[in-house]
Amino acid sequence: MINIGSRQRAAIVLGATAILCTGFVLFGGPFKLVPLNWGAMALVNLLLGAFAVIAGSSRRRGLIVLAGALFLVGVGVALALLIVGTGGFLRVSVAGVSLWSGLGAGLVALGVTPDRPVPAAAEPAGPE
Amino acid sequence: MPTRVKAADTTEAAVGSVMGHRSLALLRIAVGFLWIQNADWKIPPSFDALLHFTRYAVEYPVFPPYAWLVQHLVLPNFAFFGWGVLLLEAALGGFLLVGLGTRFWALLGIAQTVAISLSVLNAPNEWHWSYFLMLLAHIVILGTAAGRYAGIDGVLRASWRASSSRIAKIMAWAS
Repeated sequence: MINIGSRQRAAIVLGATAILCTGFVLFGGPFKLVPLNWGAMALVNLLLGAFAVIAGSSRRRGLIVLAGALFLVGVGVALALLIVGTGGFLRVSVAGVSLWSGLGAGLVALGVTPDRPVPAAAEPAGPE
Repeated sequence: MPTRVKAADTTEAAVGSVMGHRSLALLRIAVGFLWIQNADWKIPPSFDALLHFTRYAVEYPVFPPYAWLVQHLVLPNFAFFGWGVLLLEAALGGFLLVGLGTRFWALLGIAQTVAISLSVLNAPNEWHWSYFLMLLAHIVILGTAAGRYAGIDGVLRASWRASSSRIAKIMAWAS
């Protein structure tokens, strides 16, 4: 049986991934694996990552889904700003959109997928 | 000492398995970063850099039918094509990074790598093995279902397989 612990751990790892990826604002050149810009997008990434860690640490799936949904809302807002033609107030980077799409979908999947049903205990053999 | 030999074999197999699984997870995550980093220079609305490289398909053709397709279908509708590439590569990076629906995304990664290769393989200063290695990496991710190791697929696959819902069955197939 897959227990809720593995999902919580996965949600915490996804949140931590967001937080760690914010650190790429400090890098330049080929090691800037996630080309986030200094600005609101990096700050939102940090805050949503922290929220995902808190959601994973709690025993509430609803919070994990909410964290994922917020990342996906961020994807929508960022794409809208890209369509308008500017980075906008978020200082949008396409790499940030990419990161948020994976984190958001992953957190939502962790939150909404039902637990595997526990197989019923074998019935004791009845009289022949 | 058959017992000792058997124990040593078991230990070696277990270590190999752990190392193998970690290596596959590392490969998947690295390929995720590859797409994330390279999605970033597809900047709308003009997609200038992407347009520059896409023109290579016509200027230095690799496969003439593909060059014809790019010249007559892709370049005249480049805004649509650019957004398609941006969305595909952004999703490839994100989903491979977290290991969700990994086999499906690896398939799309193979298709996109082939498309990129057919555009730039004969262009000057391109190292053809870059694209061969990229293709091989996606084939390994697909063939080993690498999202099951340190990925969301590994956490949820058993639940998807046990579920009778259509979405769960699709996710089980994609993982």
